Amino acid sequence: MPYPSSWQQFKRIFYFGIKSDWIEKERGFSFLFFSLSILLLITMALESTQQNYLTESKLAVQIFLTIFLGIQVVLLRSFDIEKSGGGFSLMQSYPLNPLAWYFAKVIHIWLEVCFIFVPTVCLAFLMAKKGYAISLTNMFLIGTIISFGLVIIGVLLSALVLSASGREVLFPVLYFPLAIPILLAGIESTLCFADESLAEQGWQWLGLALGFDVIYATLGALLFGEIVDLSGSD
Amino acid sequence: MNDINPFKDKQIWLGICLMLIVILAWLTGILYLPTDQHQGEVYKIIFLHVPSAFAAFFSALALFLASIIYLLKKRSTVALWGKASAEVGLIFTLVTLATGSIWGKPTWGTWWTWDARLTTTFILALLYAGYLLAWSSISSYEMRYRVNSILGILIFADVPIIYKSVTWWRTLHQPPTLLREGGASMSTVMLSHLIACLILTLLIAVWFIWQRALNLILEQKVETLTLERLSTR
Repeated sequence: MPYPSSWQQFKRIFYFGIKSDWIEKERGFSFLFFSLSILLLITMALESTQQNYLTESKLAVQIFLTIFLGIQVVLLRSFDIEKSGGGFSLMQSYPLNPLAWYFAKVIHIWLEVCFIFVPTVCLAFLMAKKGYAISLTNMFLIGTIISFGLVIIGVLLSALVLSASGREVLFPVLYFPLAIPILLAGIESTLCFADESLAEQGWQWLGLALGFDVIYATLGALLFGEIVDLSGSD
Repeated sequence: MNDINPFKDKQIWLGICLMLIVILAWLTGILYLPTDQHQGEVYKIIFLHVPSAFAAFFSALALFLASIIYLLKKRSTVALWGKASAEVGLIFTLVTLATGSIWGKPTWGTWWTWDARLTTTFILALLYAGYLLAWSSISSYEMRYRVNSILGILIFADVPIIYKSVTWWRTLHQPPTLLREGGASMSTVMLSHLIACLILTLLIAVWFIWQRALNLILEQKVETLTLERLSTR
C-alpha cells in the first residue's frame, strides 16, 4: 500500500488536530475566555488613566497585547495531542513529510487564534466610546497578517522547547523577542492607517510584517524537520 | 607547558597583549583626543560603546555560522563554539547597554528610554539569555545542540533589525555613525581612532570566543570520561 502523499498527510494531520481539540469543548473555549479576560483588564486599565492617549494607540494596545498573550496559551499546548499516548514516537517512525506536519500545525493553530483575534477586534471596536478613524476591514487585514506571523514563529518555538525542562518559562523568554518585529509592524500600521496622510506608510509597515511572515515561514519549513527528528525521544 | 593544550601559554599571552593594547587605545582616546563641540568630553564613551555593539553583532554572526555548520556536519565541537559565541555576545551586549545608559544620562537626561535602538538591543540581550537558558534546560546532548543551533539561526535574524531600527523608526538614538549615506559624521582623527578601537575590540571578542570554546570542549571531554568511568564500575 503506497504511503499517503504530502497533501494527504497535511489534510489528515490538520483534521485530526481540529477534531482532537474540539472533543472537549472546554479546551476549545478556554483560550477564548482567557483572551476576553485580558481584553477587559486592559480596557479597564486604559480607561482609568488620566493621560490623553491617542484613541488608535489604545486600540493597538488592546488588540495586540490580548492576541499576544492569548496566542501563548494556545502555543504552549500546541503539541499536547502528539505527545500524549506516544503519538510523537509513532509519527517519527512513519515516513512523514515534516513540511506537511509543520504547515498543518500552523494552519490548525492559526484557525484557533482566529477565535481569539476576531472577537477581540469586534469587542474592542464595540467598547470604544467614540469611533475609530481606522476601518474594521483594515484592522482585520492587519490582525490576519500579524497573527499569522506570530503563529508561524510560535509553532516552531513550541516544537523547539518541547523537551526542555521549565518550558513554560523558556517559551515566553524566547518568543517575545522574536515576535517583537511583527508586533511593532502591526502597531505602527494601525497608527498609520488611522491617519489618511500616512496610509502609504501603513502599507509599508504591513509589507514589513509580511516580509517577516515569509522569513519565519521559510525558516520554519527548513528547520522543523530537524526539530521533530528527536523531539519525541524523552 | 600545558600537556592538554601545548599552546595555552602563548594564547594567554596573546590575550593579555590584546587587552593591554585595547586599554591603551581607550586611554588615548579619553586623554588625548579633542572634545566634541556639542557633547564635550562625554562623547568619548563612543570608543567603548560602538565597538562593543559591533562585537555583539559579530558574536551573533559567529553563532549563526556555528549553528549552520552544526546542522550540516553534526559535530558537537561546533555547537560548543556556538555556545561560546552566545556567552561572549551576551557580555558585549550588556556592555553596550550599560555604556549607552551612561552616555544617555548627560545627553538625553535619562538613563533609559524605550527608544527603537535601545529596545532592540535589549531584545538581543534577552535572546542571548534565552539561548543560554535553553542550553541548560535540555538534558540530552544531541537535542541540546540541535535546538540551540536552530535558536542561533533565529537570533541572527534580529541583528539587522537592531542595526536598521534607527532609520526605520523615529528614534532618540543618533543615526549610524560609521556606515551612513554621505560618509561618517565624525572628524578624521576621531573616526580613525574609533575604527582602531573597533578592530581591537573585535579581535578581543574573537579571542574570548576561542578561549571559551576550548574550555567548553575540555569540559565536555572531562564529562565524557567521567561518565565512561562511572559506567564501567
